[in-house]
Amino acid sequence: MNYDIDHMSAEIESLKFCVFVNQAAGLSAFKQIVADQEVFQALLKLLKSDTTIANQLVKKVQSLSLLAIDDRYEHPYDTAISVYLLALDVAGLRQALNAARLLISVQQLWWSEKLSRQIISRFRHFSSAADYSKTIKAKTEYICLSNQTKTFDVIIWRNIQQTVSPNYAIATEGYAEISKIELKYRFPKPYKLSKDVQDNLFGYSQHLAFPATEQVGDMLECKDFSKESEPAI
Amino acid sequence: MTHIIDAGGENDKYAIPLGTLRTSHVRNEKRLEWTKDRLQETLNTCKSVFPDLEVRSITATYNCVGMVFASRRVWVDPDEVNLFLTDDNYAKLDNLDHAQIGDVAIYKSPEGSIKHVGIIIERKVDIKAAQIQFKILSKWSVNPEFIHRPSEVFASYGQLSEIWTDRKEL
Repeated sequence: MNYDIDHMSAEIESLKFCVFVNQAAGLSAFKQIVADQEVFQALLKLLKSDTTIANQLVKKVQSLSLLAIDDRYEHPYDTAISVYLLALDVAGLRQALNAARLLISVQQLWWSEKLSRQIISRFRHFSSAADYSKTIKAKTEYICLSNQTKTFDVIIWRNIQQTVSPNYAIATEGYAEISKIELKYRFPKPYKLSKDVQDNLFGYSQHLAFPATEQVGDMLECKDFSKESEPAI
Repeated sequence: MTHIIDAGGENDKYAIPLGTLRTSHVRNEKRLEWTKDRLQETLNTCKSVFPDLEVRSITATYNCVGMVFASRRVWVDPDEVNLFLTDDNYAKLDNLDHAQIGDVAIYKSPEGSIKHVGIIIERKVDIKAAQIQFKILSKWSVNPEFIHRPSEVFASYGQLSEIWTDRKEL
């Protein structure tokens, strides 16, 4: 099907589309449902072929987010905004971070706010790795530790493409070459980076070693899992 | 200002105190209501796909996990379901046919991740068909809370894969 950006926007901003993709109970399901939509695939294709589209999407995000909304209700264009944001993110464009920063202070959003948080958080993780001198090898996994108030998150990242340096990741706003795999462990309080964490990493635990001196926020290299099957979770 | 850090956590004013027997806090978030015309559209869409659905309630403010584990007050990500099942001493049944009223129905994707949950609210033995028929009560995201047959759900919810129970016996 041939879409132009106006037709795509009309569909993405329609109530019918909004209701359909809102069958998701969580963010990962929402992203999957959106990604499966023909209009989303067409938008991605257009983003890659026309460099002006990204800025148009950011403008759309901005204008929709500035609409005056009855404060008793969720933003009626939350879904459309999140679809534009997701497209920018999946396409690996730096405008995704700009849009996310714009949206994080907008009230009454749901999916867009969660997605913005995820994008900004990902950027922060890579920022914290800026002084990490090693390159990030292709098909290796890294564990990123973040201490968010009273919780302690452990996120496993996998570089699925070519070797990049952390500085390159920063230069490209952190998400161009790296994809996060859906694996996240959360602990109720900031544990020391020690046996407590290892014991809770299931199949990964045997591959990890946390020196006691490592700081939260550092990105630690894990064993190369590319030739092994995924550990059971 | 949106809560960027630890959204849904203990310090998030948009979350409520919600725990299990072993975990002091389970992430959750309050979701704003949808306008009436938008809620009506959710109902129309679902009924157009599954005409036999019975509506119990129409609101966008909680999801399936919120309905089953949080008294219909908040949204809880399906990723948290295992926490409730293990911490609150639920037991997985060996056979779906052993489900009883009040048990928790778990829908999983082909990859095995939990996509949807509901509560068994009806169990009938169909002697002629030699099978047991169930009705499930579940909340379909922003869509209404429906009474439905196990197979009557969106494809994205996967299939009814497991039944967990908190029934205790003497």
